[in-house]
Amino acid sequence: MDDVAIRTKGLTKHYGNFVALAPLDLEVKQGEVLGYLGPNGAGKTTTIRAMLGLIKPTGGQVEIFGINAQAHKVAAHKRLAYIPGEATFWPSLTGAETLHLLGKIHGQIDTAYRDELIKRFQFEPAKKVRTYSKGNRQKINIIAALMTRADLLIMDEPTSGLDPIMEQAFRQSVMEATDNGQTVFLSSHILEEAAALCDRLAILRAGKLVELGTLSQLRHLSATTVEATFSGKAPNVTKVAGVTSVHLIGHTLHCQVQGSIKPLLAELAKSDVVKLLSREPSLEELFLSLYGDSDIRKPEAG
Amino acid sequence: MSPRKAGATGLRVLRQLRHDPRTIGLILLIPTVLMVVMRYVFNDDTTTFKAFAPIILGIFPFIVMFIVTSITMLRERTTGTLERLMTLPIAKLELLSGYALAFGLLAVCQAALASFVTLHWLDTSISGSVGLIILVALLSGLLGMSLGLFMSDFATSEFQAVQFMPALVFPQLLTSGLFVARDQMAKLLQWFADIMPLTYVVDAMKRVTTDANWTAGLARDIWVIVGFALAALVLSAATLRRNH
Repeated sequence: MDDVAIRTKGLTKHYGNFVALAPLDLEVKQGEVLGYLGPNGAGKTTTIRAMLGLIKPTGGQVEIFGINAQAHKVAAHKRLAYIPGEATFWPSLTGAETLHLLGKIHGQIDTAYRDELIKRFQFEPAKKVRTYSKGNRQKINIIAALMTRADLLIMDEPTSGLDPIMEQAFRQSVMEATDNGQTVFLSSHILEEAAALCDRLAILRAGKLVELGTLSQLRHLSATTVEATFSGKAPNVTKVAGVTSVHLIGHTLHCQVQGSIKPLLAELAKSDVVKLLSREPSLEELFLSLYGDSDIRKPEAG
Repeated sequence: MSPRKAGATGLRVLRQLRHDPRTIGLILLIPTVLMVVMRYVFNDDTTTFKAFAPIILGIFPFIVMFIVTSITMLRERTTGTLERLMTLPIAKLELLSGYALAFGLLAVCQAALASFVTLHWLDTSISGSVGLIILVALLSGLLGMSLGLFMSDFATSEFQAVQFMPALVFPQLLTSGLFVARDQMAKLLQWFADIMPLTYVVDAMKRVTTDANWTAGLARDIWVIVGFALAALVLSAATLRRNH
């Protein structure tokens, strides 16, 4: 067997005429954390549901550690644990009873680690699920998945409803999982979370995989943001090579540069610059540029 | 087939029920209370009561288990907990066996209580075997459960699920020989009755209340009931939608 945890081959899902997922070819290597990013409705959950065998793909297939996820669901599920974004449980059971059931069905659980997680997430297992807040119910999903120490963790917006302290606890737990050699498939729209945890990022838009790479690889796709303030009138830089989205607010010039920043610096130096700021794009800006919500990647005239 | 997973599922259903004592109370008491009422409806006519009582004892577990399981299963599906379970390494038959364990236990308790009260306190002096009566009542409950699990797949709301009860149960009740002997019915209905499982429940109950011995006819009835129950369980596992 090779070292691939998840492999999708031409995975496609149509709902009538609507293409929820265009043919997707993706490999998640064992031991890596792959961030699966995209706006709502991009097809993230559809992908995960196909991986879990909850929906029947229109075409293609998914393999979990080489096991066909559609044909051998139980065998595939033995190797993975899933954290859904929604916590749907039986309201009349307690948290402890729910964890007990999920553990018994999964089969292999690390009870010492479970207790540690209960403490870390400040979870109160004696209460009934009905009385928990959304965040507390989500803790059941998280603890139930992590306590199995499954080879593969599939997470769909796992921190929905958690407060920042619990998000921190969650990140620590994911890092522990990867130290332990587990593979993580993390679907998220929280860019910061994905940037902090993931080895590689896959970006999905309207059912299509638009980018796949490490964060630094993806940064090259995008422009550098430059802000310059002048004592007098700002120069016109719209003709400078690589410069796009120029805005002028008072004496401050905002623009994006693709490729070398040199020609722009030379142009700016001709005027009296008071303040100059240049930075790497945040994941947020990267995201926006890929979704075309800003004009960073518009084809340049000339 | 893993007993651990089926057992965990059964325990979960029982724990849910424990938190809902009113449902347990209703399931256990309704047949018994109705038997008592029926006893005093017939009042001095103990012969008629004696003829009716065992049949009612046999049919009740079927009806109650049919309703309880079809609603439970439907709710499991509409709230998303069924899908949550389907993300875990559990086979459908293991899940359904878990239900069978929990509801089967409930069916035994219900049948035992109603039989005990009817046979000992209501002065019926039935010549049959109490053990066999409880066995038939249990099988009837399991049959109701299996059909309930199966039918729940065809309902998209609880209102529909409840409608299945009269739609599926009443025709069988009418043709089972409860009110009119089967050979007096129209030929078409006799054929219908021959392929309906409740007919065999009523037939078995009539046998065990008149004869304390295990007979070939009783064995045939029991095999038919068990066959129907297993077929419905396997069919519901096959149709239980893991995906769409």
